This record gives sequence, C-alpha cells and structure tokens, in this order.
Amino acid sequence: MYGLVNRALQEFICKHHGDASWQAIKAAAGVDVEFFVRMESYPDDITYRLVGAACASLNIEAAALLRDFGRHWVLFTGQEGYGSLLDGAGSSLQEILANLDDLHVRVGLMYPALKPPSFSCSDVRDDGLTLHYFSERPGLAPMVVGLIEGLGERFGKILTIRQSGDRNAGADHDSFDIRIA
Amino acid sequence: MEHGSPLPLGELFPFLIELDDRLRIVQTGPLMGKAYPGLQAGDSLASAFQPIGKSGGFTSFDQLSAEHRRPAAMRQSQPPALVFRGEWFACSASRQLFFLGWPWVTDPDELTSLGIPLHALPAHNPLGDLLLLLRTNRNTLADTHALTEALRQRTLALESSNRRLQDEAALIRAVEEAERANRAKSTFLANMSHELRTPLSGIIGMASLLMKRTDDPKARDQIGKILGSSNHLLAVINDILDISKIEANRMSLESVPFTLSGVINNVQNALLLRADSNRGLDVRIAIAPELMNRVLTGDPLRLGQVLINLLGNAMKFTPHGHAAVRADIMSSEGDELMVHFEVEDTGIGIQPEDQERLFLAFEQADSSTSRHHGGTGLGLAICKRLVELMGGSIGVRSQPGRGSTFWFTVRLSDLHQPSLPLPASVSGPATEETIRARFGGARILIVDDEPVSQEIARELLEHAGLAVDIAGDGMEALALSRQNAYALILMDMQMPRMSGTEATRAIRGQSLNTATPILATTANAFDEDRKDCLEAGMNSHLPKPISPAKLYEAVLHWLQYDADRQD
Repeated sequence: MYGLVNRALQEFICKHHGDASWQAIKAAAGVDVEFFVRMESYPDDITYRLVGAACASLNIEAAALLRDFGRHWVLFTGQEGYGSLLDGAGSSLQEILANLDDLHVRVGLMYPALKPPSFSCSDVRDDGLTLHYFSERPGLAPMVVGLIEGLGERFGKILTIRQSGDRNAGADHDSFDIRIA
Repeated sequence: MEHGSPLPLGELFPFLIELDDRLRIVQTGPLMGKAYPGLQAGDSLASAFQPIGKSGGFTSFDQLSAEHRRPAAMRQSQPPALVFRGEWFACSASRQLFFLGWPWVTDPDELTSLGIPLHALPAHNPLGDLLLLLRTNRNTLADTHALTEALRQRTLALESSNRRLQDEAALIRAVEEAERANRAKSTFLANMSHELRTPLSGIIGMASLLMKRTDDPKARDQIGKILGSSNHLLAVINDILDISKIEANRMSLESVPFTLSGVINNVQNALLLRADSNRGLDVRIAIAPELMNRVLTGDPLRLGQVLINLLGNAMKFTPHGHAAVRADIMSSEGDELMVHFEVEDTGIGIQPEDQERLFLAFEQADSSTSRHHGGTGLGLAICKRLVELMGGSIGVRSQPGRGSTFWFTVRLSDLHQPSLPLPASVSGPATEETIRARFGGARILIVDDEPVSQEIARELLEHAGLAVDIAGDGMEALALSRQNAYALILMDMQMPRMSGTEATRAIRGQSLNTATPILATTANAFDEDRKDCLEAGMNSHLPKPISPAKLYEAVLHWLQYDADRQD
C-alpha cells in the first residue's frame, strides 16, 4: 500500500491515542520506517502488522479499529488535498458510490502501483442502495463500512448500514445495504 | 451565460469563446460563466481580456487570424484576473474566431472555489487529472522537505552525540592517564619503601644485638627507644607499602586454613607489646562459639591486620572504659560464610561530618589527631581496601564523647575440617633457647651482599648456638653449597653476579643441599616477589626487616622441618 495509507493510520492513532502509542505500536509491529513517504509503495504486510499491533496495544477489535479508520480516511484525504477528488466524484452519496471506480481510475494515474478495490451499486433509490465491494485484500470490509459512514457525514446524512453479503461467510464478495435517513 | 449551438462545441470545450469579426463575444462554453462571472454575449474581447506575451491589445480579426492554431494566453481584465490558456482557431470563410482553452490553475481547489467540480470537465480534458497529479507531486515535495528536515535533525543529533562521545573518550583517556600516574606513584612508593626498609633492617638488627650485649639500664632504655622509634617507622613504611600495593593492584590475598581464635590470639599478642597497652583498659573478646575454633579458609594475616588496626585505634582513643571485639556469622551459603565483626570502644568518638572521610587514604578525623596520637592516616583506608578484597564492607557508628563501633564483614570459606593441621608455633625468648638446646651446632648458610645484614644474622644465629657460613652473592652460595651440607640456608634476593632465585635453582639442581630448606630474606615485599621465591624452589619468605623473634621463630620451624625430613 502507498505510504499515504500508513500516514493516515499514523495520524489516526496519534490523534486518538498519542504519539507515544504510535511509537510503541510501530515497535511492537517490528516496523522501523521512521517516515512514511506518501507516494512510496510499501508492502501490504507493514499495514497489516501495524493494524494488528494497534489492536493488541489498544485492546480494540480489528473490526472496530478498521471501521473508525475508514471514517478517518475520508477526513484525511480531504486534508491531503484530495477533497476535490471526492467532490468531483459526485454530488450525492449515491453518485459518489456509483463513481468510486472512476475515482480510482483518476487515483491510479497519480499512484501507478495502486491496486484499488472495485465497487458497484445495485438497487439505487432515493433512500438507499446496495454497495458491492470486491478486493484482493482480505479483512478490510469493516473499513468500507467506515468509509461509507465518512462519506455520509460529508453529505450530512445519517446512514444505516447492514452487511448483506460476507466473503468470510462464503459469499463471493462483500455487499452492504445502505439506508439514508 | 450559455448559448445554444448546432455543434456540441460547448460540451467539448467548456471554456470556449466564440467571436465575430468585430471581436465581439458571440457565445461561451458552459463553464466559462463560472470561471468569468459577468462575461456576456456582445462584450468586446479587448475590454474583457488582455493578451499575455504580446504587445498591444486585441485589435482586429486579421490580427487574431494570424494567430490561428498558435498557443495563446490571456488574462481577465477584472479581478481575480484569471489566466486562460489555449489556442486561437480562425475560420476565414465564415469570419469566425474561436478560443479553445481552459483556466490556468495549479490546484484542484482553485477549480472547486470557482464552483467547477472535477467531474464537470470532459473526460478528454486532462486538466483535472493533471491538477491532482500536481497536488500529489506537491505532497511529495512536502514529504521530501520533511525528510530533509528529519535528516538535518538526525545529523545534528549525531554530531552532538559524536561530540559527547569524543568528550567521553577524552575523559576516559584522562582517567586512564591519572590511573597510570597513580600506579606509577604506587610503584615508586613501593620501591622507595624497599630502599627505606633495608637500612631500617640494619638499625633494628643492630639495636637488637646491642640490647643482647648490655645489662646497663640506661643503655637498655636508650636502645629500647631506638627499637621503639624504628618499629614505629617500620609500621609507617608498612602502611605506605600496603596502600601502594593496593592502589597498584598488586595486593593479593592468601587462602589458607586458620581459626578465628588463632587470629584473635595473635591480635592480642601484637597489641600487648604496644606502649599504650598498660593503661588498665578492659579489652573484651566475644566470638560466637560456633566460630571460635572452626577451621576457615582465608587470609588470617590480613584479617588480623584489620583487627589490630581497629582494636589498636579503639585502645588509642579510649582513655578509660573498655574496648570490645565481637564476631558472629551474618549469613552462610554452601561453604561460604559472611562473618560480621565489631570493634567497640567507649572512647572520644567521631564527629558525624568526619565519619565519611575516615576511610579515605591520607584522611584523619581531625588533622590534630596525628599530632596527638601519631599514625599515617592510612590505617582505615587499608582496612577498607582489605575488607573489600575479602568480599566485605566496613563502616562506623559513633557518638562524640560516647564512643565508636567500627564494623566490617568478610567472606570466608568453611572447609568443615575438624581441626587445624598447623604446626604449633613457638615464640618469645624461649625460642632462642630451644634452638640452642635442640639444634646447637647445626650449620647454617647466610647469603647476603649487605655486610650489615650479614653481621646481624651471623650474630643472632651464633648467639643461638648455630654455626654460620656467609656467602656474599649467589655464586659464592652455590660454591659453598656444593662443599657443605647445611641445615638451613637464608637467601637474599637481589645480589650482584647471581640473584637469590638463580642461586636457589642452581642449588636445587646440583649441590649437597637439593632438599635443604631455603628461606628468602628480602626487603622486596610484593606478593610476586614471594611467588618468585617459591617458584625458584625456596620454602618460605621472610620480609625484611626481620626482628630477632621472627628470625628465631622461622629458623626453629625450618630446622625442625629439616630434622623431621631427615628422620
């Protein structure tokens, strides 16, 4: 994953648990990278180890941590100057979610080693939709829930999200029923 | 402002400007209204924009037709003076001019602030992607700056650390230099003490001989004072030698069997000889019964030295009352015992501020102490080092005017032996008589290059009824030992032509005295000197100056040993 993701994780941990926690988590994860360069591609293993060490150190379930991190990711990318990318992806939650793959096409131009997930929408209506999530990487479905919630906040919407398809339970992909209040 | 067009030019070029041949705006693309609010059809190009990189303004259709398909840039006449980048396209037949361009912005947020979302740009227009790429590169540049700063901070920290290490290295060098100088000083002092002990040996020996020869009370009193002063000087030299040896790391301890009762006995005997021992001071000894006759392993002489020092001080500084020595087992683990000693007195005591300095070399509680009571100020420092060498520690509790209690601990081994297999020592004036009675006429060889030492030893031994031969160096000794069988040989170490150790090796190799006891007599008082003697084949070592009593004691012991050997 790009350093941008690890930087977001660093900022997320530091913001909620302090710099000392982040240093301890890095040490526990055996990660000796002092500075994550946003444009540099790092092995996925580093990110997974950091998340694992953070869960152990902070005594948080991985799902809960990833969900919070997904919400933080929306905020973080906005700060990093990619808010226009999100804004440009659509003028409503449904439109953005439908355009996520297009958004990743743009991102892929900037980050050539990007291995983005893929999204598609079904049952799109005014008060909701079903989002389908396909990824090579395992275990990140809770982060998608956080991302959806973060986007909902960006549009000032209260969402109810239910995972209707679970790859861990044998489905061929993860899917989420989203209701917009 | 958006005007319909038969061609979807506005969708293809959202910032399009179409002009007529009078350079008036006919229509604009759909996003131009957001980029340039207020721009209307009919506005003149010259009033709305200023060319960039061209002199003069926009003057005529022909002028701009000449710019057909050439790069162009122009700036809004009104704030925010946005720049548009593109090209002119002239259609001469219809006398139409088109500006195909886009706003020159460098950050996606600039577009957003104009109310133009990225997705509003047509997909073929790379502006949005390039702006994002620019933003990404800007982030990378920021990372590079951050890395550079981190590197700079790290370099500063390393430089600082390097300086600190250099300082520490300099400090270590200085400490090593100081330690080397201290060792050199100690070696010098040790050598000096050798030079002092040799003539002192002559003084004590000769005074002892004189004492034997005279019955005149006044002469005996004066000779006694010579001996007293000489012995005091010897004690001072011994203290300096001890502290020098310790500081030069040349002090090593014995590990021999002994009993505490024997050590205490020797301590009492030694202190009985002192001038201040007849003041009627009550000296109490309380050794734990389980320690009293237990056979321990350690260095009894050095343990005795500590006790003599502490008890001697107690007696010295206690005008009346009592002094007491106590010993008890503090802890035991396997064969190891930690023994705790206390020497208590009811003397003058020590001020609290002086107690910490007591164990430092060359320090006394009060500088007037040495004037009133004598001493080098080294005794307690030597005790501290000896106790530490014996794996223990030392300290003091004291109340001025009420008395002091010095305590120390030492680690000793318990071999669980039932009794001590040591020969009974014979000492005192009876020794000389015993020698005369049992070994009178026995032949002894004295090897020494010092005429004074030769004379003293000869007189003392002949006085005890022994037959004495003298050799002035190792060569003479070897020659004599090949002619005569001796009961005992007393061998000096440093001699011209052939040293004591060389002579001993030769005698042990080929002579009539290959098994005769050989005692080293030398003012060289280091442990390695003694080791050299033993390695050369000598049986024991008597450091100079040798008192008559010690000489007789050693001679008797080794004559007996020789007799037993021959039996």
